[in-house]
Amino acid sequence: MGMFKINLNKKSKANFNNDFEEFYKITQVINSSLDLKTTLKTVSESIANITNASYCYIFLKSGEDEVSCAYRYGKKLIFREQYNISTSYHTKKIFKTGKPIVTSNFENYRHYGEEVIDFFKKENICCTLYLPIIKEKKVLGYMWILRKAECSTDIDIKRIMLFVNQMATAISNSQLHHKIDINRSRWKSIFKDSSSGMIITDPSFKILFINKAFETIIDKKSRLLIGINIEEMFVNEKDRLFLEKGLRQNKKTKVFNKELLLEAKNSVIWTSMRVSKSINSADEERYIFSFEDITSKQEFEKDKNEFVSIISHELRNPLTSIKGYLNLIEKKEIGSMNKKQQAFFKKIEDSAERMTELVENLLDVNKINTGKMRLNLSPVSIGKIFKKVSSDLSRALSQKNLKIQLDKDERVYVYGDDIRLYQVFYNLLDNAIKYSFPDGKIKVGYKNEDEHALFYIKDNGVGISPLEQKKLFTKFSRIENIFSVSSGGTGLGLYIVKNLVLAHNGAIWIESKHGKGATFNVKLPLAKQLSLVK
Amino acid sequence: MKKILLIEDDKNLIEMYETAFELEGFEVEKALNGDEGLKVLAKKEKPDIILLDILMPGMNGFSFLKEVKKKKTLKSIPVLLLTNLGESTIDMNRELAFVLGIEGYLIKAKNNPDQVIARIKNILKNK
Repeated sequence: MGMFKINLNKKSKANFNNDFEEFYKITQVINSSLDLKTTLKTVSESIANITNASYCYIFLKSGEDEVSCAYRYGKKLIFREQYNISTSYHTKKIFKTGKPIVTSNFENYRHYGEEVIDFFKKENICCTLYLPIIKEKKVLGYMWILRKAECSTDIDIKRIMLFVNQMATAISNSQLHHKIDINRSRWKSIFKDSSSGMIITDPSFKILFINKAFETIIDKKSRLLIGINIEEMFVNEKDRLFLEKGLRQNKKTKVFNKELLLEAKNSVIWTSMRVSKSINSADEERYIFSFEDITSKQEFEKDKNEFVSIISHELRNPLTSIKGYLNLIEKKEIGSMNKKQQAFFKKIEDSAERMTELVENLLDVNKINTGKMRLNLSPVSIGKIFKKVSSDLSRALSQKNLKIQLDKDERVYVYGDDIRLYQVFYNLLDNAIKYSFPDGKIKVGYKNEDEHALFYIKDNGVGISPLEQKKLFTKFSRIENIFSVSSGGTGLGLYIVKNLVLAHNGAIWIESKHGKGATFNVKLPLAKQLSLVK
Repeated sequence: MKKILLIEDDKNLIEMYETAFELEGFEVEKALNGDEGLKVLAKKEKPDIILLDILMPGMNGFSFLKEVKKKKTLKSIPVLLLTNLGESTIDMNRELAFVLGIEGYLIKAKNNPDQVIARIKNILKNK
């Protein structure tokens, strides 16, 4: 490129100091600014200064076959903002060769339109320079310099190309930066415009960012919330505890889901919350919370619960009547039934009993779902409760010729609700009977251990697979029973049992091996004061 | 012959309980709500026990109970709540009910007439 030395005014005197100053300025800008506009402006101004140019344009590749004017030094001209590379003579040439082009004697150039040539004449433009902007052998675009005839500085293309090459680096850097910036703003807009309410906090749960959707959900402006601790918006104490215990101290889990109440402007809102831990590009720990307003879903749940409650209560009266009259029919004073009537009577009685069980189970589940399960706690003897359970189930036991093998400690007193604990042990023994092979043994044991009472009941059935164990305590789960086509249960029993045990601050778990039966273990808090034992 | 005052609004249940109690040798007086119950109690001969439903058109069970426990002549009559109302409602009112002085409560759907009679006999025995 050194050969392009043009002495246009025959007054050759290189202004080394000026060059050096401009070069220094450019380097400074390039090092300190990633903004393309600033870089182009500084470089154009510098080059215009040292070349004494009247106009300076920078065209950058903006498409497969397109260059666009990225910066203009000097007043706006009639020239186009964009050119096709393949159809514009000089543009095509510069992209093809990557070498500078000097043009003069415009009358002879058919490549410029009349308007351009008129302009050159009017402005007294004597020559133009096309300087390729090249980075890593790729032409990014070019600089077009227009000089007036009267300007007296010599230009040395090799010298100018030093500036242009600096610019190439800056352009490629800032284009890269621009790409990153676009990506970042894309992510930012995902956060900003997401239909989920989103919050980002620091590790102490101090709110750093809030998006529009979250403002809408709780009807509060973000300026009121930024800087506060997110837990201040949580209505319930246990949700606040979750942040510390469930979230911060939990190193294993990455994503958390929870339904909770948030305090909104004039109300409380049910939300489904999702939290994930994240490390940002500056290596800082962040929590990303997203919230969905599920108030309407919760209201539907509430309606559903009320519906179940009303229906169940309404069923209780006719059931009382059915069971009551069945009870009367059995009395000898009413008269006697023949064998067939007695058999049919038994079927009605069984059905009424099953229906009662279903209604009572639904009411219990309803109570669990609505948080209305209340316990009347007092010190109670497990032995006494279990004795009643086994005597009430003695008929079922003898029907399958099952024996209970008891491993007991008489003095096991727990702090519990005797009626509910009866229900727990009744369900467990009833299940053990249903799933045991006939003529076998059911092992039952209870003892004190530290602060707890341990109770177990082991059947001699086929066992419960790990998959079934997972489903066992959920609503409407039933395990295939090899002894009867229909187990006749509601699938609610163990769900209720689990929740009753939990309501007692206890725990329940299963141990089972295929073919070796299943053991249900229950842990309950011991009674401390025994003076009130029931 | 021991006398039961049955305050209950469901006619099927009234007949059922009446039959069962009479078979056991009780005399049964009936009332469809609290107001009617108070009218029965205004008579000279008082019942030995009151079986009381809670939800009834007119005066409900709790209001009736308050009225009964205010009166010197009536407050010693044992009252057994016999209801199908949710336990949670009873739990909420349990303290109130016991303060007002009930002997206990039975959920109708969970207890057949024999079980109700057993409870009545138990209460009368301890009286």
